[in-house]
Amino acid sequence: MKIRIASFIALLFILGFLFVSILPQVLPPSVELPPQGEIDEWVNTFDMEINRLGTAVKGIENERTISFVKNRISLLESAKQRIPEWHSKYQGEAMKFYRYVAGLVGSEVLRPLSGEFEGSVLVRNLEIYRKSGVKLHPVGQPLGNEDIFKTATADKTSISEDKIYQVYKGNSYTMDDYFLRNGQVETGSNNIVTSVVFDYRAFDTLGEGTVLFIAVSSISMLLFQILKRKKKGIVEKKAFSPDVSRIIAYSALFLFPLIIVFGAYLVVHGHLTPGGGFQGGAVMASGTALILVAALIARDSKMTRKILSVFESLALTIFICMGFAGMATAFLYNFLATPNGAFNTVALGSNAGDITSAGILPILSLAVGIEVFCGISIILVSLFHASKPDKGEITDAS
Amino acid sequence: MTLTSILFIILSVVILIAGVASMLLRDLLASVISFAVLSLLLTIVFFLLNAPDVAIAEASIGAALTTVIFIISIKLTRRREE
Repeated sequence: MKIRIASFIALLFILGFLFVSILPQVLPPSVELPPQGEIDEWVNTFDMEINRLGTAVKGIENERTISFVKNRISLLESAKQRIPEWHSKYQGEAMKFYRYVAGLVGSEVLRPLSGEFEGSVLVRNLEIYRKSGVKLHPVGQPLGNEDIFKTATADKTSISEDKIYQVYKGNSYTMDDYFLRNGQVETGSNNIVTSVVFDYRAFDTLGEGTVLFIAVSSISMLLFQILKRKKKGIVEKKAFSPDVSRIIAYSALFLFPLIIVFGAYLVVHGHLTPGGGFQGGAVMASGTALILVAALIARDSKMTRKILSVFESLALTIFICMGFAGMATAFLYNFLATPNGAFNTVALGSNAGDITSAGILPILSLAVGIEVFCGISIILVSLFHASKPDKGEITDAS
Repeated sequence: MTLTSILFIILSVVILIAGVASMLLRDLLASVISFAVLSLLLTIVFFLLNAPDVAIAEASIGAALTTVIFIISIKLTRRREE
């Protein structure tokens, strides 16, 4: 009965949370759009940049560089289409928008090419921000060796593959630098940690999930005989601690929904704010530990364990299926993170981004969250019921 | 010396004490509780080091889940170490 009240409160919390998070996306933006002239000006600027990049691509022979530049072009095109939206959305902080564009121009391959952009609005903005001492977003910061950049762009007549290679070679940046500069643009995840865990190192995460699955399976196997034996002579009401304090029982009743909602928030917003599948799943599992300690579940747990194990297996299956879904390119390829897709890339400042961004990252995060929650809950429930005293061996409870 | 660094030093000392206590205590329940205190303070240290991701994981796994599992194991075996 108590657990039903607790789950009802949790359901109410989750519904309210969903309502509050969906509401701003459903309602029309209250801020007025900028005047049409301003939008046209930006669209023209973007068109110019895209054309210039398109002509610049023809001078390059290296295929990887070409694909990189083409990727940047597609990013610019997606940025172009979102100009009105961004202006209305970030009216007060349009700087983030400029930062994003400046970051595109200022990063890697475009940097040697940016001699071509000289005098354009984008580069002017970049220069203004650089001179004003405003700390740019990592993707907008100047890369590595300034001298090499200067030598590469001194001769503006042509852009050769050699020069780009020279710049690449000169910028002996490390792997974490790469993640910090490009993680947001490539995966669309504002939280770089999540973008590493679920995108760049997603295969490793799959391994971790499998390890947890095997651990849960072996613990269940070990405790199976004990739990089977217990079932015959189990003492129902007088469980782990026969008389749970009312303070613990009732505070657990109110804390459990909050813990579950906080864990769910960590899982769902893993790609936007600190958190992610593992952390959120562990937080939700500590909610399970709380209701076990407070003896809100006193009866046999076979059904609970069955449901939990079904969901755990389902979550791991979803993870693997998402990996195979992008198989056209590679296993666990982030195929949804395309511009204009359903889960598109939103690369803005440190605290912006939609919940429907970052491609398959939120889905993987959800799968791992469910898996960790159910797995650790199975361990806790099994251990807890295995530790119940048998009939006739109730001794001192302390 | 800023306030943060003073807090950092105090936390580090208490964490060391809690760790040594969890090793030396004969009462296993007290040992587990001091281990939980260690994890809880380690959470604050991780947060001061700008690692909120690790801090959340440490708080839930180190302070909550490990403690519960240890306490159940103590319940299944015996409380005092000989």
